[in-house]
Amino acid sequence: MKEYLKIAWRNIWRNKRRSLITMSSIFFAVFLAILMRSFQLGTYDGMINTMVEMYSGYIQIEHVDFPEDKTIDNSIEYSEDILKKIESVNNVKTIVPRLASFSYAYAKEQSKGVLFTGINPEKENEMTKLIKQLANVKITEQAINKLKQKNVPRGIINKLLTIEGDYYSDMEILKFDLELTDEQANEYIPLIKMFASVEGEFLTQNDNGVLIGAGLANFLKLNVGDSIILMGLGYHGSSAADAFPIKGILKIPNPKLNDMVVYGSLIKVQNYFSAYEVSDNTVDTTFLLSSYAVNVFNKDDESVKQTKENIIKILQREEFLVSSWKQANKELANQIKSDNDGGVVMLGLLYIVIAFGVLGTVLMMVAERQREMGVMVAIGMKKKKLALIVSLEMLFMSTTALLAGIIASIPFVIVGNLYPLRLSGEMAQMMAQYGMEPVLPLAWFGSYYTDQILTILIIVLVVSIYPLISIGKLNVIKALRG
Amino acid sequence: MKIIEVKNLNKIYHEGEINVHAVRGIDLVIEQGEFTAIVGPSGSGKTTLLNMIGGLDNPTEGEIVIDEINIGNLKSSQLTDFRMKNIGFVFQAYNLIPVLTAKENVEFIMHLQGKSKKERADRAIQLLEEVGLGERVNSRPSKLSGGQQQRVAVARALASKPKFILADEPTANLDSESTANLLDIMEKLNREENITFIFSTHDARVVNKARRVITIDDGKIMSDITK
Repeated sequence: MKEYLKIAWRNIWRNKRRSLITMSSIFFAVFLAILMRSFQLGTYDGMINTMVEMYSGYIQIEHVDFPEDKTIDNSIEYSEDILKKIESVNNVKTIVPRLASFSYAYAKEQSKGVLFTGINPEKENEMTKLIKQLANVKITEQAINKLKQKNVPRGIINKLLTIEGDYYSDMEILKFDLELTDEQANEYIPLIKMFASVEGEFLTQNDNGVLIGAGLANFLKLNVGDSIILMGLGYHGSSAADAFPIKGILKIPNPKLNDMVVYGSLIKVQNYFSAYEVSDNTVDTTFLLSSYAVNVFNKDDESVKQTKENIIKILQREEFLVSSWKQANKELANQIKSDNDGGVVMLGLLYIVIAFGVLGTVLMMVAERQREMGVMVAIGMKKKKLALIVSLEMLFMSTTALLAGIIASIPFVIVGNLYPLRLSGEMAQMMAQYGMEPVLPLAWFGSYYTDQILTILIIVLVVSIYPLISIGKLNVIKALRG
Repeated sequence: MKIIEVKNLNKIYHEGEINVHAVRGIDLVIEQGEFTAIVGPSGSGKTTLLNMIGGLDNPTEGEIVIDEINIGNLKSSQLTDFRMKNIGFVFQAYNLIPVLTAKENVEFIMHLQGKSKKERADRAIQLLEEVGLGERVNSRPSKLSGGQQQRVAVARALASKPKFILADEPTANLDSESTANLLDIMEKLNREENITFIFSTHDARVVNKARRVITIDDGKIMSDITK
């Protein structure tokens, strides 16, 4: 075997340029395929994180008629007993009760349709970490003027002017938007926080106040401490109207929500919408919800499906519709599926090009070595051993290029995952329209790596069939004639 | 001692709709230790005859018996083994394996025979010294002259300790000096080690050295002269 390995290795390097071109094509195919796939899967993770994990949950429980008629009249019962039953199901991580319906918000000069959502602040934080989105900085004209007086460099002031009016809850995002170095961030972010700070508190269990999205706050020109007037239609046609003090502004990554969401404590929102039913004896009151959002530990499709089935079994309520996120959010699931399919087709095309490139090399390799192969067989080498040498050559070239491609991709995947590319401009706006945070994270290492390895090995295996057939059919006399 | 017996050998090639009768009813016996040249003009059938004796080509009719084995009865893989153990080849275009050194080329066939590393190395060096290339054992074919490459080919042909060596126009690409040198080596091996050589050639110098000259024309033996 050692002898055959030696011959195969030397054969690769007898035509260095061709071998390097072949290996380069495999290297770039693997490298690009991994990065393409990582970008795709990372984007899906980001979408699912923004839309599912951080908001709707992997499993949703709502009224069976709600998908067809999304009104507050199709609400479901809220009770501690139901919460406990769902919490007892294996794989359930958190469960968040919500009541959400549309209302009109009125402020000094403007009005806007809003999604008024009642939450249990503690449980909501467990799932969505909503408290982290509480803005503590607002870039105002006054703040910029004060920073000018503190001799903040002109370049930073200019960038601050471009984000005037924006709220920030995450200083890393502010640092990114201002394109600050670590040193600049250490020096100027505390100054910005000092002059642009925004007061704000999170909701408590029975809070009278509300939190509003930063986009909505800017649109209605409202600040913490102001009141927002909401008017709408409540449960079973009742009228809903009230004024709520604003306790804080939320900078929500999902721009659509950021422009329209108002959060209040669950009990206050239930009262606002009259979302309760009083029994005939007028003693028992059943409060209502739009949904229970459930997050799970194991997020793969099979685990989610199993958890969903277990919830259905334990609840046994015909009016409850229990859906996985893919059922409840078909638009997102389809969007991911179609994009994923497109990506797979692109990868397929890339690999077809590579397969033909490798096949070309093999054709030349076999054609130019006909005489040599003829001699080897003439002096007594079995054809299967000759085929082994050629297969080893293919294997050497492909595994070397494959490993190089994988190794080269590793730092990109790590950096791209830990520090996702933050988009700006039109691309960011386009993603915002889809309700996504405008970042392009790379997916962490996963099965997509093995997929590329297997694909390349299969291509090499398929392409290797040609020289094997060619060697099998080798006519020694013709080969010796050249 | 008879080592090759050819009986009523015929070879017909089909080139499109035309049948080319390359070898016509040849009967031939080669004895151990012969130094035989098969001569004839281009297309006379000498290379075809040599290829069939070497088990590289199949006769249309007739038998080739080598050391009492009718090679026509051997399967393809058995024939490959038979060649490896019994026949040495020297080709017109040297046909060394370009990625192997002179020594490795000579060792290669012994590797196929399953000889030990030491045995291979010792014999390869001994053979290369015999053909006057003791100083070039680690040179690749591209670094050797045509004459030197052909001498390596002779050493390779000898490496498997074959019953006979078939040399198809071995001097066709060599200059006078290299030809003389190569012929001297082969004659010496024949004389001292009783190795049987069968050449196909046009070269008068080879014919002059041969002790038996078989002339072929139009696929038939025209004369068979032992000097």
